[in-house]
Amino acid sequence: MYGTQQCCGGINLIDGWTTAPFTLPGLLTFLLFLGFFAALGWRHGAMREFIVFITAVGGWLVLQSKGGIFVTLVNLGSMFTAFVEGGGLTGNTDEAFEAAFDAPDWVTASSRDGFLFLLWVLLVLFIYWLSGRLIKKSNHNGWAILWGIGNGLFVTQIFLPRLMQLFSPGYMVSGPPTEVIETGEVSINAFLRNGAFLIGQTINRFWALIDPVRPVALLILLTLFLLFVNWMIGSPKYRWSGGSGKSK
Amino acid sequence: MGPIEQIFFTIGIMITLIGLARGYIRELGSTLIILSALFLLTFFQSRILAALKLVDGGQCTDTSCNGLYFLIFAGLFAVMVFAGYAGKTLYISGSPIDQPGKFLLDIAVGALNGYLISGTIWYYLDRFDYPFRNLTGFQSPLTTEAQKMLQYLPPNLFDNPVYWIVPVIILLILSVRG
Repeated sequence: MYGTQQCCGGINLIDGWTTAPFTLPGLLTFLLFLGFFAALGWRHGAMREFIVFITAVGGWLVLQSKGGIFVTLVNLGSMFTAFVEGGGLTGNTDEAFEAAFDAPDWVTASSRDGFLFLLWVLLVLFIYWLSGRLIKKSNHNGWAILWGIGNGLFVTQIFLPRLMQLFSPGYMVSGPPTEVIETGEVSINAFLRNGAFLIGQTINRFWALIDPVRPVALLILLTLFLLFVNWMIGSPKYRWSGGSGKSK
Repeated sequence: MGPIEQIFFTIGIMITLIGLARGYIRELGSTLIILSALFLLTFFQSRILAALKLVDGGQCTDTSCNGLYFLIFAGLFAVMVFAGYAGKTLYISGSPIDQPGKFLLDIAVGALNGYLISGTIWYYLDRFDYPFRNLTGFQSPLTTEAQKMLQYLPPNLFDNPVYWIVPVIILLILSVRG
């Protein structure tokens, strides 16, 4: 999927995006992004984050596969408004029905994608707010961090192409939404592949970035990792002991 | 026997599983011992080899004593690692974090130890041109993947052996400061 889509007179933007070496600011932004969602997850709590994650993924899948229902409902609103304005509630039914059938769609084929995206964003924000109000006890543990990162990765996949479109108007929306819209099928497989792809690309680019200063970078990484592990031990105490673990 | 990288991946996975069973707090103590062992072996490697050449009195040609050298270096490393796991060792106590963070840390620290141990043994096999081929069934040449992996074996990672002891010292200083 990636690396094959072209737009803008043959400029392969997505391919360029995937194969370009990771810049340090880019890497830091990505890590900051994940760190932000991890911290948000920790603060929000495991159960609330889980519900937000399920809603985000489930809502996206439903909207992409059954989005036509919501579009039809909204367009029925347009017809009803025209019906009322045509005097349908005051007895002038023939003209009212005519006006209703001639009423323009609020959501057209060209604005369908944007409408469903907006609906999805509103749904996730609403559930985020609602879960915070209804669920009183939500543990602040490792699960909360994991669900937070999961939410971050999912939101990245949905938002990143649209943000790119905002700043580079010729950029094509890629990833799960496009594939689903084009094929008309819900593809969890595409979502998982994209998630794995995103992580794989990050590691590859990170490796390419540190390669020129590999020994020092690896030393820093190793030290930071061990410090992190040490930090994750409550009241750590070091002592020499036998193999049984009893101090001598 | 399959490609050599499969064997060392298997060894690494087994050590990771041991790490999972022991928990990351105890594994961290073993990691520090392994890093110290790597420092000692890489720092004194050339000196040990020079001493061995003096001792053999010119009996060994360039490759004839590779098996002996491998046994000495891998043996020294194995003894230190074994001491780190089962002997008088650095013991770290404390309370672990909640699941699933604990599980992830157990896996991560276990995998690090697995990589350090199996990678170092592989390094010495490669350094001394894969001795005991009749016993191990090793067949050259290595696969393309294995040749790429050689540069990432632990003793090949750092130009300076002192790098191995830096994290150990930092952690020990932090533990003394509390």
